Amino acid sequence: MYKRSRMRKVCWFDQNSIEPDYKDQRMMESFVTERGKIVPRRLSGTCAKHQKRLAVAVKRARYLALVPFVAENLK
Amino acid sequence: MKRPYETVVIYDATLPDEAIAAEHGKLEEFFRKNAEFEQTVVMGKKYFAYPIGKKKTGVYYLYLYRGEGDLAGMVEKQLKLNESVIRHLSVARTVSARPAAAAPAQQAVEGERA
Repeated sequence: MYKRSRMRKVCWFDQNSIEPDYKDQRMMESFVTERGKIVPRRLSGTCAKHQKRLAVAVKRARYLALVPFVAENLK
Repeated sequence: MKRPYETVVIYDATLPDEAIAAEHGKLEEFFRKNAEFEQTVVMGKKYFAYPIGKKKTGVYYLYLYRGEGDLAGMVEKQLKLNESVIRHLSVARTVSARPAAAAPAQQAVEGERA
């Protein structure tokens, strides 16, 4: 049987030893899809701890209009 | 016990620079009076990801300070009454928060989306 080898995903925040920051617009945009949804950890490889913090940060960034709530408001 | 807090304030970008500077000065004075004020980070003029009350741009300021628990209510009251403030957000600061990340050079707003 064909065995697929997969690269183990590493948490970007752990790798760079930084924390999710709602004020960092570029960081927030990189963890949001084109539709404006938060990228799931199965795709981004973020660990559970940082995914939880990231979700809070994205929601704060949305309130401050740094990141859109929905797709039609995308830049 | 004094705890670290941070407040992001979005001023109306349609106001003249002097008016924004005056409002910023007033708010900074308020923080100096009522809290242990640390620093202000000017995040600059930014385009909103969605329009807020028909406005498309705002001037973002970040205030870092330490204070008692009742300070949050006072800050809230101060900012709610201010008409030049479009939106504000006050949060308890975490140790790892980086104020430097809040200050990228966002001055090229006009050039980006002309």
